Amino acid sequence: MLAEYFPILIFLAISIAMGVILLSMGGILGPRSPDSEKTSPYECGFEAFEDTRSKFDVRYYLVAILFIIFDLEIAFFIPWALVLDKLGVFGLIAMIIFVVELVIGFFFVWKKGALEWE
Amino acid sequence: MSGNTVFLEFLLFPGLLFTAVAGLLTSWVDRKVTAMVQMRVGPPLLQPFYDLRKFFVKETCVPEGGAAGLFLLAPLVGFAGVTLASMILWRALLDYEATFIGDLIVVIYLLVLPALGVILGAFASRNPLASLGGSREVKLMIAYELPLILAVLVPVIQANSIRLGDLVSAPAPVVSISGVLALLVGIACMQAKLTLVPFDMPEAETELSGGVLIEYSGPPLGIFKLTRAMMLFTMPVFLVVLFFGGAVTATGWWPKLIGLLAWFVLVALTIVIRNTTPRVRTDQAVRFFWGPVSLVALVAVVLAWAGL
Repeated sequence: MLAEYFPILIFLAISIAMGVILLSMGGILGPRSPDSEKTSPYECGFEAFEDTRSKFDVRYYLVAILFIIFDLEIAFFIPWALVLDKLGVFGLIAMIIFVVELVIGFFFVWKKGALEWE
Repeated sequence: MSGNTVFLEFLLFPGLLFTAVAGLLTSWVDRKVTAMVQMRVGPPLLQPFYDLRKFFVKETCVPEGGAAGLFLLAPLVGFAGVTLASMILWRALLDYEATFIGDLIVVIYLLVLPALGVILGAFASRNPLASLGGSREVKLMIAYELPLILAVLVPVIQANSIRLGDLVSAPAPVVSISGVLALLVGIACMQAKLTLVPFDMPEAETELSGGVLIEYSGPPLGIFKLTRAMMLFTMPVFLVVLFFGGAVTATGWWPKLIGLLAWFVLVALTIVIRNTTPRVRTDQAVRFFWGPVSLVALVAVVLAWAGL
């Protein structure tokens, strides 16, 4: 199993190396004369009003946590789908209960307004 | 297969060079059709290549106070991801033996990398507009990733395997009701994954003036554009592999024609949607994907396990 995944790691490294070569091509071929105006963050041509690192709404965390919960639940489907034949009716009923819970949870979240933005 | 052949496959066909050229040509189709919709003449065939060449002789401006290392490395994350994903998909189409158990999961997560790279680059830019765009991209990703995985489950259930080789040799899921529903979900998610209108709020030219890519210039911007072009080529291939499976890998030239046609229809659909819809707000997109799209995807999964 690991032997099959190893080439992927190697190719990932090679493609990143290719990208680095492409990037450094710009360094060799392109001009390089930074000044403070050129490198300042762009915001409509005037000085930036605020820093990037600012406070943001706690509801983002809520959505992120919801995503993780649902994504993990969905991930359970994949191994289940593979052994569906062997599980038979038992597996089917178990998954129906699981899906019903998932849908109830989903509607609960929706009605609670966790997906509303303002 | 010897190491040398694999290496050549990676660099030339179906890896880096092939995907890059095919992606740039696809992006030309996109630009040409868009121009025709807007009553313009549009660029010549090789314009994307000229653009790319120009990017690589331009200056790289790193924004002051930004995370320079991350800023420069971020484009490579997506570039590496889409190159590898394309290679795995094409090897599955060409040769069953080249696939391995679980490569579908690998491809799904490799195709997440371009969005991740854009987010990293945006947050490394130290630009308020880029950060806003980045946070929009995060929300968009959270929104579409869920129904996409559900849609992918339909072919998995039908072929009873997470090996791409089995998926492309199984009967095409698209001839069943569940397959059609899942394909529709897949098309909606593809549009968001490519951050094309109506889901291009991370870039939103009118409000964020480019958003996530605002601080990028020269080669890093070129790599982002190349990655995007390669995604425009690879995502429809991904959907063809998933939903047309056996119909495009059977022997003879007829299935290959079907595959090409299916790919072209998917690309055309993407371009038409992009040119005929207005940009939606982030909350609308999240509600769209977590509401109707996820429900349709769930229904498709239920139908798939019922054998429909």
